[in-house]
Amino acid sequence: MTATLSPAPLLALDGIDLSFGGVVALCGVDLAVAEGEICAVIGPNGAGKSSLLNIISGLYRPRAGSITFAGHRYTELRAGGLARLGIGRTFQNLALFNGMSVFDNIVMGRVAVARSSAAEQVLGLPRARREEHDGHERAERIVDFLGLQRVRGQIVSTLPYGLQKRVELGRALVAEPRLLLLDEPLAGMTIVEKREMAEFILAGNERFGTTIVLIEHDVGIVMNLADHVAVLDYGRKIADGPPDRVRDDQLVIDAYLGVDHDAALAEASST
Amino acid sequence: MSFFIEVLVGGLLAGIMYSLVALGFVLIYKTSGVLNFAQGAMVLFAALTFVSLTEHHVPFAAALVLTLAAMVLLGWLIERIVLGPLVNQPAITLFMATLGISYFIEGAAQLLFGTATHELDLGIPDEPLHFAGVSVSAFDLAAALIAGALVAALTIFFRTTRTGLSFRAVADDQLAAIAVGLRLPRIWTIVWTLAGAVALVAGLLWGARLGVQFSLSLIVLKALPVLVLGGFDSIPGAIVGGLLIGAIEKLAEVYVGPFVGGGIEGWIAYVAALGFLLIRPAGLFGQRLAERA
Repeated sequence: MTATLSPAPLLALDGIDLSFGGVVALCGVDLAVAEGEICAVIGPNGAGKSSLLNIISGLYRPRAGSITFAGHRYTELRAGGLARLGIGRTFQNLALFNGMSVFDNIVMGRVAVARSSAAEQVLGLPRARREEHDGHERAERIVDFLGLQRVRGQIVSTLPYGLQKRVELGRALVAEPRLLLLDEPLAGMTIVEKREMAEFILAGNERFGTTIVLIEHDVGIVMNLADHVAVLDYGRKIADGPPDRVRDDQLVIDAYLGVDHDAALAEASST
Repeated sequence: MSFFIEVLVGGLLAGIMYSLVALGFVLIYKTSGVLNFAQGAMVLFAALTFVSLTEHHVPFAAALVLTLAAMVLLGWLIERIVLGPLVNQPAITLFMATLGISYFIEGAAQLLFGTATHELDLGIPDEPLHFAGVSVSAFDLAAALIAGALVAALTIFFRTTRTGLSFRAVADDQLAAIAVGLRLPRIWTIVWTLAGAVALVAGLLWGARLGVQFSLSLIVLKALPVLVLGGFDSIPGAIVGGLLIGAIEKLAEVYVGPFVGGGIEGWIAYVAALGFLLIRPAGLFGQRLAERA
């Protein structure tokens, strides 16, 4: 059942049930994500991918089951709590500060890490100045890393979509989260943009050691990117493992090509 | 010509005083999208608190600190008790809530301090100074300098500190602000305490000018045309709007007043605002139209 070898996963979902009224969104979903890996959650439309991400984010409260991140167990988080746990995320439809520059957007990613109070900042006390300096330096490094130097002063809303996605990734990375949740990071991009973005995700994972959980439609790129793929269909996890194994899984093929769902499940439980 | 300049300068200096009130509105509107009608009541409350303390022989500096503490507490309470629980409600609901707060503060101020008019002497002489044939009120000049220093301090705070950047971020996109881990209630509490401090400065200057009385809270009505001209969410806008309104009022009173029987000063600002709404509804420096989800 467990696909990972490490004894204590960084993130563990345990028997997650979620429903909206009578509609079951997730049913008994387990997921274990090891530190340092890239885990992709894929599945057809309506499979429950976004619900799963929102469960990890602490936005939805599961009806049953629990989430454990780095030894911290929760079922729901208050606004802003996710960032303070050390989990960053990006959004499918972007959530950037549109009226601010690229650099300011990325600097804002540091707020959850900063400790100095407003009063300390106004008075320019040592800790505030150190954090200010440190934040700018790290933001600078991220700008370099993502190749955003050319547009660093530009207002974000004036950039093409692919670059905006990259800025959002940068804003999440600058906080140096232990876990990064990416909600369809490649959606709506051109082929070239997708390839670039995949490179940045991979590089971010290698360079910063950030564990990544992403959900994505583009199965082709995901299979090359992820160390570990989990497949959802109708709110259930139907496969979980290394990309090669998942690719050849009959249930996965059925889910994507479409077969009689009940028959497929019945077959799965009989084997 | 020197008479024209004198009128103009007098208008601009009076305008700075309007800016001071408008500034309190901008701070709150910018970060939370709430048009805080209670800003006038806060100005009144600050002035009343200060004047009552000095009348009880509390030294100037101590009274200033105590009043500032009271304003910070008031701002904090408003955020925690009234606006915090109303988060995500439509703008009109929040506006009505601030209207209620406004009446509550005025009523409470009457209970606490009575309804008498108080004289407030800040120790700034009110005598004309002469510069190259133009005479300027020393009090107006001092008031303008204080207001200017306050604006400069706020601008530096907004531009250079991370908290200032956070305010802009919250104003820009609340979902994104939550995603990066900003604590919105804390930001709003800081903003309300800042608005309280601005109300204190406005209350002292206006109180010294007009006497501390209940009509002081009506200066919100003077801030509205300033905001329409300058834009509801722009600090420079509040300044430029205030200067424009001040200059328009005084110039119109002197040069147009005689033809229509005087009294223009009372209403010309609203006519200007109305005209401006037709041409540029977002104001000179405003980012967007008033509605924000």
